[in-house]
Amino acid sequence: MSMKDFQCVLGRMIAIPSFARAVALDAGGESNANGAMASYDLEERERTRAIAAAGGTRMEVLTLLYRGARAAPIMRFCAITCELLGEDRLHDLLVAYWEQGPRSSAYYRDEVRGFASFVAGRDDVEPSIKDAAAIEGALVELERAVMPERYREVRLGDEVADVQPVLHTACRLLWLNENPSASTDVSGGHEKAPRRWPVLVDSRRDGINAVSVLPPSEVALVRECDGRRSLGALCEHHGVRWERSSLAHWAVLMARSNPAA
Amino acid sequence: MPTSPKHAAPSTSSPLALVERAEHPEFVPPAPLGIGLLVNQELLPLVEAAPDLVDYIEFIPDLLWEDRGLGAKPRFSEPPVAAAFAQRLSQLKPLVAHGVGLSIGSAHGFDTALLGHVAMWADRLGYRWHSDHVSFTRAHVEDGGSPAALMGNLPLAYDFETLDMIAARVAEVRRLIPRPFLLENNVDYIRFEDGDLPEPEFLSRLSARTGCGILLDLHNLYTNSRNHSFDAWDFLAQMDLSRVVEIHLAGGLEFGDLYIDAHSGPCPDPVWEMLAHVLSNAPNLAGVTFEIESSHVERTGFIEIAAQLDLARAAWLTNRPAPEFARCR
Repeated sequence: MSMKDFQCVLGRMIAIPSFARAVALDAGGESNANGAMASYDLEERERTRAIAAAGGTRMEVLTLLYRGARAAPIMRFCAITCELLGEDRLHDLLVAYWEQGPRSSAYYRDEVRGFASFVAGRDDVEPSIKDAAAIEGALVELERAVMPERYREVRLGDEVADVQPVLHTACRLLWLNENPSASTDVSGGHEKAPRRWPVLVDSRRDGINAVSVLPPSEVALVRECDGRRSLGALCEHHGVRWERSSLAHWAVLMARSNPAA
Repeated sequence: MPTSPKHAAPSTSSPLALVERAEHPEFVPPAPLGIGLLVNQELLPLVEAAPDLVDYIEFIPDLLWEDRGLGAKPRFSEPPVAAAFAQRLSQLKPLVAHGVGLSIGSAHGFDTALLGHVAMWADRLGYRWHSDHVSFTRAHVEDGGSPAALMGNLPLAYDFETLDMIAARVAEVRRLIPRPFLLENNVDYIRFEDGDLPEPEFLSRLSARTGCGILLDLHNLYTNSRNHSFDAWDFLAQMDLSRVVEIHLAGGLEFGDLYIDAHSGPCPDPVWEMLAHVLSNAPNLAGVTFEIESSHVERTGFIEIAAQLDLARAAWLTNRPAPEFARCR
């Protein structure tokens, strides 16, 4: 018996309901070369089992449980995105997301990140909802970020001239589709609006504080923090006063504790 | 009932007894602990506030480590919060692990790297025993790539081929992790009624061949009996209860014409009735564990959960031999 192929058929029926419906119709016996299971190496008993399993409401329940398990972390960790979409659109997007294919990972971070990326790539989703998905996806991804050994946070009051920082593992720069803070737009509409707006996502902070708008100079500085350039030089180049910067107050950067190590 | 010579009961006087003994490793049940609770983050405050409610803690280690999947380097990581949670549990009570990721019934292969990680945690935390499910959770659903994680424990056909496959893997588990290992009877919303063996005989033979114990989930049995219209008591009559080391209790939900093993609250009365029977007839039983899913904890409430544990303890005290009273309340 080809147990492997049989388990493939069973799993595929659960993950892809249209396949289950096709198998339910595949009652032509071993000679049915064009049936849904034609490409699988199944013995007759396995074919019979698969057809029997496909036809009932229990397969629908298994699919429901499978999809429910996939939906649960999305609804928990992308709550704002789900709220903005509304029940009907959320349902349609989830079904479209699931029909992309089954999950290879059993871990919620991968599911949430996958859904957030899916939403971000949709033409039929408003930019503001894409932004919400991007932020929530990033927060989940950063949730369990751990600072590497022998690294320390670069804080206010630190001597930074020779420090060679990188962005903290708990932080990420995101470029949003819409201006997250109208109050920062002081141009009165006279300047050309940027195509994307940078925000800092910091998983160490709660709620609305997890998302911050950085001044353009600090954004430019962060983008050049590659662990090889000195913070002092970067501050001078971008006109950032370290002791007054958000980067210092929020300890957004990290560096090796002993650069010689 | 069809039998295969390969699967006949071992002979104790045959010249091949040594070979047969190797194929039927010794079953060494752990010392009895009493009443346990499957603890997640939501339930930790209950155990810390009322430690006498339980004699041991059960937890699902797969939910604590991060697994980047087959081939990833490094594959596993342990977030500090999760490691601290596991350590805290081990400090509170004797610890038992209930795995969900071995997919011991998967025909696509056995994840020995995961098994190695399980072994490492077992050594670190000192499990009294560990368990997983007679099921599979991974299968190739699409061409190429890693097997998909299908969530939930999917049904196996109780065939001789399945028995052989799982028995070989149990041997590997026992070799790598020299602690008592149990396999749990699955909840099957789909069943294959034309299997070579009835489920209780399959489980009994698996235990006899491998030396593993059985984790008898009475709510899974109840759920299956309701959904597939068979008598759970017939199952218990066919089961070798001497191999039952642990019992799981839980509650469920109606869903259309199905009953779902949702771990959603109090146990239904038939489960308590079966518990009394098994407690009286399972001489190697070491623990009875109540399970409730984290999303149902708040709705059910700590008082009701404590009441379920008290009922389990009362049943244990009533039905178990007197010397096994671990605690009297």
